[in-house]
Amino acid sequence: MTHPTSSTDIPTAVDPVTFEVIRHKLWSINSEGATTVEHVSGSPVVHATDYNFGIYTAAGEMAIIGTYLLTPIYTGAMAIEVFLDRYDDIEPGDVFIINDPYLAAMHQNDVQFCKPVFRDGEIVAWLGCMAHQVDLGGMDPGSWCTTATDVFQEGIRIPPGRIVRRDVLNQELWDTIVLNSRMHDTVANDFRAFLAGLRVAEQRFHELCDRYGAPQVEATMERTLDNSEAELRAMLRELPDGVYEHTSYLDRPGGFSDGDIELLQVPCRMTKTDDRIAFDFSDSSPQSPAYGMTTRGGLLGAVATLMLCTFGSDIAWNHGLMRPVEVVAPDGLCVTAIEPMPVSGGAAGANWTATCSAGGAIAKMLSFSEKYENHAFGPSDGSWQLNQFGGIDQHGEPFASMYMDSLLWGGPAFSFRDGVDTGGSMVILGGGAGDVEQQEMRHPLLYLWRRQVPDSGGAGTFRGGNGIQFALTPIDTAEVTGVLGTHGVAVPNRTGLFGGLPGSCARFERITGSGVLDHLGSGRPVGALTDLAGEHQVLPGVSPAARIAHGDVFECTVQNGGGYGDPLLRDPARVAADVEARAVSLDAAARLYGVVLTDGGVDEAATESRRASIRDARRARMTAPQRSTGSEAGEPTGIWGASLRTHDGGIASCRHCSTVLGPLDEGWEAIAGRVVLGPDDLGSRVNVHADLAAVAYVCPGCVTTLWVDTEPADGKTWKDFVLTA
Amino acid sequence: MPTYYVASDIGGTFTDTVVIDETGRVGRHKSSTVPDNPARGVLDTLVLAAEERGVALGDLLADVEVFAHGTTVATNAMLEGRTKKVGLIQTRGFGDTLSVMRGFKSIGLDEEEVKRFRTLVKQPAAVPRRLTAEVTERIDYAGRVVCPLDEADVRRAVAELRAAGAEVFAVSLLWSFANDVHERRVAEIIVEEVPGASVTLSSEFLPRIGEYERTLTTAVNASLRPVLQTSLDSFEATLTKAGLRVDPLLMQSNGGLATFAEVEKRAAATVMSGPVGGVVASQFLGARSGHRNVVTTDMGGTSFDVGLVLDGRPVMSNTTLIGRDELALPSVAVRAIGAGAGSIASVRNGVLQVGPESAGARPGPACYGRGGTLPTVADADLVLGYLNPDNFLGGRLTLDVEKARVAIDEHVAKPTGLTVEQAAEGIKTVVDARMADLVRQVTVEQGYDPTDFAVFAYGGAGPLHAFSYGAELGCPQIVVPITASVHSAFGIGCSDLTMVEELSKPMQTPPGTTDHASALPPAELDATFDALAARARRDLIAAGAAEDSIRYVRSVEIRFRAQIHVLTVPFESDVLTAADVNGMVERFVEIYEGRFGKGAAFLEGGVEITTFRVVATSPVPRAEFDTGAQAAGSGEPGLRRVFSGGEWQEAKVYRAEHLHDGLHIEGLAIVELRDTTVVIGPGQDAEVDNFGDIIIQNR
Repeated sequence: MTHPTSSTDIPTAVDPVTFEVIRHKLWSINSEGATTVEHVSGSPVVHATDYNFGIYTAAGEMAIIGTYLLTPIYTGAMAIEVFLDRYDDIEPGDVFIINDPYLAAMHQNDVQFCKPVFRDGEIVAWLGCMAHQVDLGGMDPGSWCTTATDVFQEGIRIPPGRIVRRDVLNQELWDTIVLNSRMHDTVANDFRAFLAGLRVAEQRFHELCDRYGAPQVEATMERTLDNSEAELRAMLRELPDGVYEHTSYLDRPGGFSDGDIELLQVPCRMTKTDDRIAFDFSDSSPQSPAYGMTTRGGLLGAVATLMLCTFGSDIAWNHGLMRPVEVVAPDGLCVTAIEPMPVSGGAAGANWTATCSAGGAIAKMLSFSEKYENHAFGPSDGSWQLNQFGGIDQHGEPFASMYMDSLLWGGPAFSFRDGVDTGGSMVILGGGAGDVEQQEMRHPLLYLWRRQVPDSGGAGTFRGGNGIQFALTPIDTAEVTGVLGTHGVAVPNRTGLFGGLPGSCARFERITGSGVLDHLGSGRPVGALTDLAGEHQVLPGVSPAARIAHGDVFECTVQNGGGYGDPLLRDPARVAADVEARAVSLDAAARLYGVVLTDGGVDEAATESRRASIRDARRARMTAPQRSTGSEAGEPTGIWGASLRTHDGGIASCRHCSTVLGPLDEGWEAIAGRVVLGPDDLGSRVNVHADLAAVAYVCPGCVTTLWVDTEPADGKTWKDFVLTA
Repeated sequence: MPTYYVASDIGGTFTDTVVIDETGRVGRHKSSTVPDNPARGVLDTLVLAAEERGVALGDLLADVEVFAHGTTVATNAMLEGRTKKVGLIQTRGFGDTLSVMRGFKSIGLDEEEVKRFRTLVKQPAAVPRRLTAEVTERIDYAGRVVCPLDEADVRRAVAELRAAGAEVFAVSLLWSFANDVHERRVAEIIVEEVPGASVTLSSEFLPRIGEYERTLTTAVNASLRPVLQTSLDSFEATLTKAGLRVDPLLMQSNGGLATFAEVEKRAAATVMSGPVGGVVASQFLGARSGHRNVVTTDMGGTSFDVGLVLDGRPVMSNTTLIGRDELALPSVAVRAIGAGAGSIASVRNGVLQVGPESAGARPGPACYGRGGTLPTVADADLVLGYLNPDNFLGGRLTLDVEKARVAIDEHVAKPTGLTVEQAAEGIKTVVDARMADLVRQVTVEQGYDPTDFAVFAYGGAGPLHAFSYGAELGCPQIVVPITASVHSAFGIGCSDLTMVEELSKPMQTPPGTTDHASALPPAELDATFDALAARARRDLIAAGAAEDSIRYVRSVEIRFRAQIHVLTVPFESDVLTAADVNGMVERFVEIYEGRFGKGAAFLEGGVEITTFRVVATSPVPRAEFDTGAQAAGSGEPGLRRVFSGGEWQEAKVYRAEHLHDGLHIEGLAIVELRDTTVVIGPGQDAEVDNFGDIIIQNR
């Protein structure tokens, strides 16, 4: 089958001035399309940037991508591939539609529209837009079906098809979809917004072609991709070939105790060869009918998001950043779910876990370069904590609202800076939440607090970002119902790098019968849930119908960023400043950082002795390296982050104290000391599932922590890296 | 005895002053800004004005009836952190409001900065956490006291903040705009504990919903007040000593003037004092020449600022962006990108880029000969022949063509294999295209088509580049006003005394409502507006306005309950009827669909008014001015070679003395005015109108 595309015979020459002018105009066209969608839609979900607009090449590669919610970024390219594959009668005036998660979406809510742009009878480009629809049917309002056991209980699935054929609306298809939503008008309005955005962008694209000629425009798109690809490949060649691996877990609650919580694993084995990179997720747990299974669209989105935000930080964003990338995973895993697995939570489940494991693997590789170690960061986004509330509001009207407050998690630490507090997300770089007052005006829930949780970011030489906690109580209503969903309750997804500790876990908590309004009315402050009477209960990570009645209190605490480097190496003055800013408690300052403060100032002598005694205790608990340490090392050849120096002959030494650790050929883990960490060694809100252990790998010389990870309690099953000789 | 009306714009580099006398004669004067003594730069321009008119400085000052100015004092103090330490008091449980920033870390950044995750961090909070204290109290959305104020807790908080070094106090409690009882009591307690303390209450200064922006703006205001006051006191003293007899006025971000006594309370409302002047001037001149819809384009050394005049009124924003902070104060909307005469050109991967990095004033473009070696837009303009090296800034600076050529050759021509001239034209093409793209974006975002607008071009480099970006946009007319080089100062002189009063008082209509007045009772709306109007009237009268000269515009911020966009919709009458309320909602739907597209409105879900606003204005005396158009010019224009469209072409070069009413200029041509250079492109014609403005049109 042949497609009328002209991508094979485009000229490669476009002069540097025209290139830059056209490139900027493509950006401007893309943002004009996006603005149109945003304006016409008016939907709060769209405004939370859960949408995107893109310009694609004739072959369906992403040419222009903006900084929207990034997780679904790859599904547009997948959709165009499907359309080109299935249709050989694509014509001017066609607009395609799809939301089938098994083909090209993260979940059913994400509806994609794509339009080919024709010049002289040939496709020269595609325009695409996608937005999360507020409801597309299924068993639960909002179409996040947390208890669905198969896909047929979820929202409507739209196969690849044409919503507009030769400029004529396919009214039957339109009506079929709109009728299946609980929110007919809103969905219809979003669809109109898509068509308006595509129309505007197409018109402007034609104007650009009229002025510069379609070949110049196509050549510009090709060249932006080629440039990004070339820059990425050059960067990859600077990094050592090898296999890098990191594992993250998806905890699926069946109840309250660890025994009831199932752990799914999502390991990422990343192989870098010359200027190519392959992410292999084949050892992930099989799919199961639990909330949070993701499809291939979610998995590719996870990898694409990381490629953009790590390698792409100084390179133009487009498909060039994916050309050297291969993603390996057979169908039927928790990250490649197939029919009939339920996938409505696929936008906020195993795809996030894949981001964490792939992010860890990338960080382990980048840290071999002194030039790029400052690009490395630990798992950046742990879980999207779904907080959807519904009921009758203070005006006596029905309401349903997703609280965006849980987006305010702490960011990961880097080799040169702390993680961003309350708002460090990578997957929505420009995202945030609304004001408390705006929420209270619209919904019958009074906030008791919305604040940063001290010590919630992982401790480190640079600490992870602290995250948000908010507590609500119903007001002027009898009760509300919460649809709650998250992972990262029983194990932190946000591990640190090079000795930094993991960030805190996610948690939903409820008090029934607290009498909080009476308590406040009598002038007594409420500083924490512990100030209140009533029945206290930690809710499971997935709670499809949590009842929050008048007098009850609900609290959500998010998962936060991991640290970078051993906390004992943090500048004590920074710890003192953190304590003053209430980012770190006095307890954590002493216990994790070994910093003793007197009247707010650092007591240097006491700090030195406190740090020494922590090291002594570590040494006493350390299991010695499996292999004896060597004493001789050749010329230094490089580094591995803050922890190792590498030498001729594949020998490693401690980057902190220069102690020679030994050969790397059986994994660096074998030449490091090992300390199993307990609650006293970790931040206060870090839970470690009984099947797992938090383990510190330390230098047997100076006992500085070189890496902290969560791994199977009976032993680590992977190596962080194996370099190709 | 002559009477003078004087307006100054004190910018970062230059102070521009316009002096108009009672006969309408306009003088335009420019001098260097003296950063630590802004009055000095103003006096320097007035010395020039006095010389031109052959009077003594003291005599000129004594005859000034109105003196208005725009200043960067508040802006600079804020951007440079030279403000007072604020002790901030907030509701228990919400003391992290400022540092949380609602989670946003990308406000005020461009796309390139947003996508670089490793350097994407929040700006420091306006008030550090150790200077923020929580007090036990709580008021709910309906203004009801949920938890009474714990006064002992307030006293403890004040002591704590003083110990932490607080110099002034700001109070911002949740829902204080709905019920200010707790904030007022907190203020009393602060003054009891710290006699004479400077206290700013959010419920008084900015009674608007949205605690983040309200708290931020209140805190910034508190920190700026003493700084602005000191500066204004010294400014006034210097001018008074030199002979000024009237109270000087200051431009606010909202495009109106206020007395020093008033701005001292609203210091944060002056952070856009300078830039908005140009938009007001364009509004004024546009009205005179029949341009109701204007895109204002101000291209300076480092940035390109775009504003809009729609149907004769500047487009306003409900907020003011300063650095990376968005203050909840209405301002004349101005959008900027880093494209100016000093923008640096570079080549990466064979691709030519211009800006956003700028060479600034120091070292400046290579051709300035101040040590700059990187090629800039100004260097390109010089190499291409648009700038006259011997007549730049009225001959105050001689430009070095060779240095410009070397910089372009080294950094652009060689890496791309172009000739120096081709590279220079490439730089200009790229920067002009970026500016055209921004103008397009600004108009499209408002729901308009740029071809319905006239472009007004001013600022140091605007008149030189406008022929290109204006032509690309398809705008029918490009206007270089006679005031181009001092346009903002001129606008400041055209402004009215202005007071804005606001109050958030959320009111909703239930879904399915058709008679909106039933849920939004006119009498209730009137009562709110009347209270706001009374406050505005009191303040304007205190500023010297005659009561019967005051005009009021009443408007609401309103949205569809199911949707997100908030628009400001005015009421036409002073006493509202049910028909007025329903008419306002109809008008809202109309504006909404005009801006966001037909069918975008969703009235069935009900509407919500959040904020009431009264804008009260009173005109400041001014002369009808005559901008100096001449009946007939003298002499013949010269000729210069200009590199345009890939080849050297002859261009006629006009100077000020050649211009006269009705002069027709055929492009390619250059007009060298005292402080700016105007270019009429190939394929364009220009007319000089009877005001002296140069109007360029595509042929």
